[in-house]
Amino acid sequence: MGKRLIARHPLQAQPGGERIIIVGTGETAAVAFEYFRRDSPHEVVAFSAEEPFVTHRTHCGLPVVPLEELASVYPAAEHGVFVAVAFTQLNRVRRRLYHAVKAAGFDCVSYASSHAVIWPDVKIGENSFVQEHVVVQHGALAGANVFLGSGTCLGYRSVVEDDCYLGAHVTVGDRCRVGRASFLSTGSCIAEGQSVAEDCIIGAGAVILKDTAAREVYLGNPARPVGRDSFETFGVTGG
Amino acid sequence: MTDRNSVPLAARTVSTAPGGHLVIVGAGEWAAVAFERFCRDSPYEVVAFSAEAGHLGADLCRGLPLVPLADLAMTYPPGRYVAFVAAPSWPSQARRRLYDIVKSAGYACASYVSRRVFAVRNVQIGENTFVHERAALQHMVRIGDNVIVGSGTCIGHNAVVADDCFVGQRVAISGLCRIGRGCFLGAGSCVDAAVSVADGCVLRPGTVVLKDTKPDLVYSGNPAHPDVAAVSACPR
Repeated sequence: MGKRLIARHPLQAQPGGERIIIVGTGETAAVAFEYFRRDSPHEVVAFSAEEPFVTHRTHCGLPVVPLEELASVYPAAEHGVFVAVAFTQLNRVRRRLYHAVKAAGFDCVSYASSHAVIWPDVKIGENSFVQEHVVVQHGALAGANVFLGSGTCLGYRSVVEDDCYLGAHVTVGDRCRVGRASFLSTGSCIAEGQSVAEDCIIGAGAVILKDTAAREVYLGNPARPVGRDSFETFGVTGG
Repeated sequence: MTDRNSVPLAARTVSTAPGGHLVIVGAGEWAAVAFERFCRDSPYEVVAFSAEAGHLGADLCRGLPLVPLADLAMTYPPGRYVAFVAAPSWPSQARRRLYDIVKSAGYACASYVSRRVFAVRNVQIGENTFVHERAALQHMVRIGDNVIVGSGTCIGHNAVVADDCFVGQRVAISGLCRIGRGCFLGAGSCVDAAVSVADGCVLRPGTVVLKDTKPDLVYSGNPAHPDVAAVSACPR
């Protein structure tokens, strides 16, 4: 092993693992399972979904337990949880399930790839997922329930608030702020110092050169609002 | 504790390849790149180059024998040597044509995946495919034969890249996408989640594709729009 130039982030150097349950049984859950299984100290012991969505007794070879019964089968004191849901309903489903498992007494674990470069002073909240080749620079902050896709870069002192989903190859410049529950699609770019407001959709490859307004959809380079409501675009029900 | 140390998420595909003696088919720029990478970062030993009659010029290439393609099977028989076709796909589809010649002569073709690639263990990679450093190949990605993937490119989970594609540097292909046969994706281009790029398309550098494309067209811009140029007239 060559000497690493940059110290590992605490998330990448956790000494002991937990037994965890992945909430979700879709494609995102299968992807999260691979990452946790192969590249984290945690041991995935089961999957869980809300009762109406439990269609199979097993997923990836592990039991699927209705969320309503989770704490009675896997006690919260001895198990962690990761909610593996993508940006469905503008991150509302992930947020709702995250709060449901918190209310049931569980702590959520986060994952950071061993192939990511994360400055050791960076703060990352619960139930966040950081994929390979991500770079998070000095002083940046990511909230709870945040997804950072492959090759994404967060510039120094940038802030990504809770419930955001950033796809692959997203560039967030230095000192930017990304407001709560926003969705930044593949290859989008936020110029340094700019703010993306809450609940925005930034389309693939869109380049944000000035602050955005909340609940808007932006496309193109330079990005322009297309005059659509983000809730309507992503079918948010119940706000 | 799980099996994280014994079975890492990312497989070093190249270090698990069997290795052997390799003949590079081609003697130009591409062959020089392939030679350098196979020599320094693969279990293969390059023993010769080969080219068609019109491209020979000398008996040696980089200090190794340069053999006419027509005579290759006699000098380096397919059972004992593997081949890698390193030729441009434009303007004459030479890479595919030479690959077909080499395959019909009975050769197995090697693929190269840089040891600095992140490739999840369940990724499938075809023959005669070349993946440069810092690429990320996620969960269940499938890459066909005769594909080139540039440095820093991300191919998202469950995406498919069909045969004969060229994917440039720092391209972002999102999850669940399908890239059809013989496509050219210029550097920095970007394909949104679950979008299909049809067979034979050219994306100029920096193109952002938000919806499915039609086959055999040139696209540019953000969002992508079809270009007036014909695919055959588009240098790449």
